[in-house]
Amino acid sequence: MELVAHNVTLAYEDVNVVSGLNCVIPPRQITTFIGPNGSGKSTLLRGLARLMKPRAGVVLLDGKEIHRSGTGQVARRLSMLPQRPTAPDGLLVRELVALGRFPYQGFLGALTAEDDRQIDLALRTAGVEALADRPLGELSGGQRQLAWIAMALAQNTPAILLDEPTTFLDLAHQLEVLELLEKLNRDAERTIVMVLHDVNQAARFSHHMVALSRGTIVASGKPEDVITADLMRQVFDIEAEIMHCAATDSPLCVPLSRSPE
Amino acid sequence: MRAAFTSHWRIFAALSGLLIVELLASLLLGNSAISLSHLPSLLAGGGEFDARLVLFQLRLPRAVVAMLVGSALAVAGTLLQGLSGNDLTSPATIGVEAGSGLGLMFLIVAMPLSAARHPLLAPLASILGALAIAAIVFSLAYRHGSILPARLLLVGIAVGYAVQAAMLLLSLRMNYVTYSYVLTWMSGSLSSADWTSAAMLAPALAIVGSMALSKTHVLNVMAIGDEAAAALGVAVHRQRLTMIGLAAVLTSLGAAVAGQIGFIGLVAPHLARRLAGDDYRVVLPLSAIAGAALLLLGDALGRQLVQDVEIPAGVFVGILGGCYFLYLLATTKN
Ligand SMILES: Nc1ncnc2c1ncn2[C@@H]1O[C@H](COP(=O)(O)OP(=O)(O)OP(=O)(O)O)[C@@H](O)[C@H]1O
Ligand SMILES: [Mg+2]
Repeated sequence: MELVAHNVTLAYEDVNVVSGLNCVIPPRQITTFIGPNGSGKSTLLRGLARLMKPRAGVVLLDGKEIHRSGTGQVARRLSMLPQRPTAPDGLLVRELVALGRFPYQGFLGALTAEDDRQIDLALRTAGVEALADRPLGELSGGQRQLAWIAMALAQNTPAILLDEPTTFLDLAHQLEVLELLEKLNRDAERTIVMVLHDVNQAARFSHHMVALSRGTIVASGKPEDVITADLMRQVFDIEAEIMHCAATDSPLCVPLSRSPE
Repeated sequence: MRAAFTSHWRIFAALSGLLIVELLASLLLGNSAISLSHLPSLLAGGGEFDARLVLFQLRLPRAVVAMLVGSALAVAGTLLQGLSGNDLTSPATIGVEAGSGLGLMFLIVAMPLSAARHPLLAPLASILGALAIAAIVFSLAYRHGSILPARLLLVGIAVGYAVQAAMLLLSLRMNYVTYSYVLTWMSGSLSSADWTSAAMLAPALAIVGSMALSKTHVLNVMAIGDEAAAALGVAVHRQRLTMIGLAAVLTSLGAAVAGQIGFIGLVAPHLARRLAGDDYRVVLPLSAIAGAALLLLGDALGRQLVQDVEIPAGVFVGILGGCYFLYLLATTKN
């Protein structure tokens, strides 16, 4: 699974959000995008997932131009969880997860035994088996997020893209989601690409980090190379002290104040 | 979802039963009533000549057309509500119905009424008008390679009003007889229904209807939002365009025969969703049955309720639908 953005320009209407960006997603690793609100993280993720057609440049999936491949073909390689997904309140968790099988289904979406197996596996992996027959409208924000993750898992793709998968979740559930992604990466060799706002969680769970500011990549590499006081000033406009956390063996950022104008 | 049909069979059976009762009633009741015991022999080709004539040339074709038109509009409405994610969308809100009327008006202005009422010419003009207006609405709503549902509705409503204004202008030049024909069309009536219109509707509806049915699974996926659906491999914009096209064809077919009766396309899908939930694979066929039942009932009431005067079916469909929405308002909290 190789995902590469080459000279990519992404735009809404006529405003370029990302211009001429180059980025390589390392296969079978966890990559996290960080950056302030509006810096283009979601936009870049959309471009990588074929949801936005670049104005210029190409996105390559396993060496093939993603916008020239069939939609179904891409959906069997790559799943994507949007930032604020919505679904009808009456939809049952199991029904939502079953939609994840769409790229494999034919006419009218009859489920095969393999589909059922994958749906059960996804429900179990995301820990929402017990909620399978509950309507989404009756779930807490965190439970709903896990149900959506289960849907992405049912898609059974080598790469999973997630836009802020931990929003709405309390600390324990945040860790639950991140540990789940870590496990999927470790045991099932999935490539994970996500957007996180919590820099410390990003540093703790990622192999590779990409810092974005105003649509350009300011730094990328191992967490300890990306998380520096300079970068925090440059990207987030804050003064921060960077320490090393022995327990997680990763950098720890303590924000001190906003940078003077 | 897998048990979709099996778990909803009761609802299907109940609605189909209602439809059959309505069908029987509309065949038997009328100015000259036919008794139920005579029906089998009449259907087999026996019985009195007069009764056979009433049954085969008047009531049966009319009932068949009512069911076909009702289900065509209901399916159109289901597609439109599904693709726009908006429960208040109907064939009337995308301007297509008005376009159908405009086509008919042009025909009437262009030639004498007797010629314009040709059983194939009128539907043809109406369909052409509908498709022309649909093309205008689509091109105005089309931006940056996609049609946004909200934009489609705004443009559809605006164009719909413009077309209504044009129709009013055209009608100013009409004499009383022509105008009352147009008025009947506008209020939605099945008085011109015959075997010719049934023969035109049935195959068209079979083809377009099964294409619509084949889109129901995609509609289910599109309910989780454009982005999530696209990530699952749905070509959202292309699908939406195809579905709007299907809905436009269905609407114009219905309007060509029965006039402005698109309200069915608002009520029937609503009712089906309320009875059966969100799975479009169930909702679409159920809505088709509900639409057929609703128009058949509206037409039967219009023919029977007031002696010697025929009230257009659209009037009763409007009243029935209005009552349904009032009931919804009264029973839902908030
Ligand atoms: N659908 C859209 N139409 C027009 N402009 C958009 C759209 N989505 C995002 N933008 C603009 O593109 C820029 C980048 O937005 P994007 O959503 O990629 O930021 P982000 O880094 O994900 O921010 P956040 O952390 O708040 O989610 C912003 O200026 C935003 O206003
Ligand atoms: Mg974002």
